[in-house]
Amino acid sequence: MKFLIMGCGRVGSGLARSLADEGHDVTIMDVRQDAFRRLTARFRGNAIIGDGLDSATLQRAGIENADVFVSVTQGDNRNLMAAQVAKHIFKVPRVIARVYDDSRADVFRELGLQTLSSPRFVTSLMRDMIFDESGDTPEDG
Amino acid sequence: MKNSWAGPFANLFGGKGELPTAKTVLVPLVGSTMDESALKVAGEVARESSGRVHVLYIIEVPRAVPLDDPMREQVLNGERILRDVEDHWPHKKTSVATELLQARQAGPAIVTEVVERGADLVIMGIDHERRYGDYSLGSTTAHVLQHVPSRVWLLRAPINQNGVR
Amino acid sequence: MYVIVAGGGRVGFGLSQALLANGDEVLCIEKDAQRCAIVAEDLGSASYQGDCCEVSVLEDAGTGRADVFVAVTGDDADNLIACQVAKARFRVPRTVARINDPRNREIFSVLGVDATVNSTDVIMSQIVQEMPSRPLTQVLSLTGTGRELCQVEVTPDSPLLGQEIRLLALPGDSEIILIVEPDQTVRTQVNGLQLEAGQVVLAITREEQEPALREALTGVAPE
Repeated sequence: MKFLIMGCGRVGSGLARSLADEGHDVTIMDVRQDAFRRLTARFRGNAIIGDGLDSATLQRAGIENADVFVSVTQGDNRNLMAAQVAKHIFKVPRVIARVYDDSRADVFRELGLQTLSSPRFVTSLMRDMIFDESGDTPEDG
Repeated sequence: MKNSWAGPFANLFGGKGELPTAKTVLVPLVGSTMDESALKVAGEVARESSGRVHVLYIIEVPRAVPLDDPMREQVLNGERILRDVEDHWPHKKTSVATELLQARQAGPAIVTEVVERGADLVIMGIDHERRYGDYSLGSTTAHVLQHVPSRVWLLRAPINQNGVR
Repeated sequence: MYVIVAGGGRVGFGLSQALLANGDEVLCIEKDAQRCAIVAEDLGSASYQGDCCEVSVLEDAGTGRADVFVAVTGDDADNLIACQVAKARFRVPRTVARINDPRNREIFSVLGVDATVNSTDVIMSQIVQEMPSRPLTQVLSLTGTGRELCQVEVTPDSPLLGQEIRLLALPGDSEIILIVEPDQTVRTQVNGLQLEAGQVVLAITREEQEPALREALTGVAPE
């Protein structure tokens, strides 16, 4: 499987490292070189400096052969635009965009895009932890 | 001994009337507990200075509908309130005129009215509002204070009597 | 007509003023509070502070009854997403986006934005119009057809003077649609005409056929 990740923040770098550790072909992009400090020295994937909204950069990152595209930059709109480019222009089979704004995530989910609304996700996990009567929390259990 | 120094308040009791004068007093009703006080003070000032009072009721029209939407319920309510003012206006020689307006925001609409009517005094009654744990003047009052060219008097309700959120 | 203008920068502010002067109902949405205050000094209630990509903001703005939604911020992603939300959630019949990177035109079109305006193109065509010899100018991009309307002025030194129009070797499906004579007469029946100095030739072409069309109409090979 070939994975293309846009945005080397905490989530992007963590995802890239774990997928690469499992032996997958991983390429991660970020506009800022210093973002790549989050990847460890033993990271075996590719890191490319460039704008994931730029088709030339995407091609350089090998989007035409990618099986999965994930956009996890800090900007909802950048993530949504890049994910749609990956899905509709480059026909990547599986595309996921991280979005902070719940309502915006819903709009694009209705348009057939896989979106992950992180505040809603964390809220729901938090509730599960609060109301877990066994006293065990998934995190420290 | 009489004080010979002519201070800023030398004519405090030497003027014509008890209250400062105004030819046209504009009172925007904002639905506060102080609306009635604002009307009373406006009536007194206008009477003292042979002026008149202009009472404004503004319906803020949400952008989901056109500005000239019928707004039936709000218009009926506004008309009722303005008729109430006219019916109970205590002054015989001091005229009161009322006006119902539809606007996107009350603040700018009040400013426009002040300019168009040539009002030289605005009297507004407001509540003491708290929002998100902090005192809030409210966007309408803030806009009026910042942009109305004439004098503005605010009558604020006592704290805790109302408007606790 | 109710037009929502997303973005209160120079473009959005100027556009809002022009639309208001034209008698349209306008709302200019600007995210930055300071910038919005400046815009509000002039536009008054026709301005609104908020993020034009947020559903709740667009709801307050009455986007559901907007006839046109125009996104003209300096950020292409913001413009795209705002138009898409306006269209998908509020069924705005026509969305127009400013694109700052001309390479995004196709992407916007594929993703459902009805029309795009590229400031670089507009400025370029203005400059080209002002240049003494104008080889071939794009007049209008015909959205959705992949074709564009171009014009060429026949210069007095053209090697093709006297050439019959119907014998010109036009590339692909490029077509001459009308000729404006030097005396401003407009001719739509062009096949019987000959090229003369001072004529303006209007043609429909595709971007990739532009160089060949230019050569066919001016007799000058591309450099």
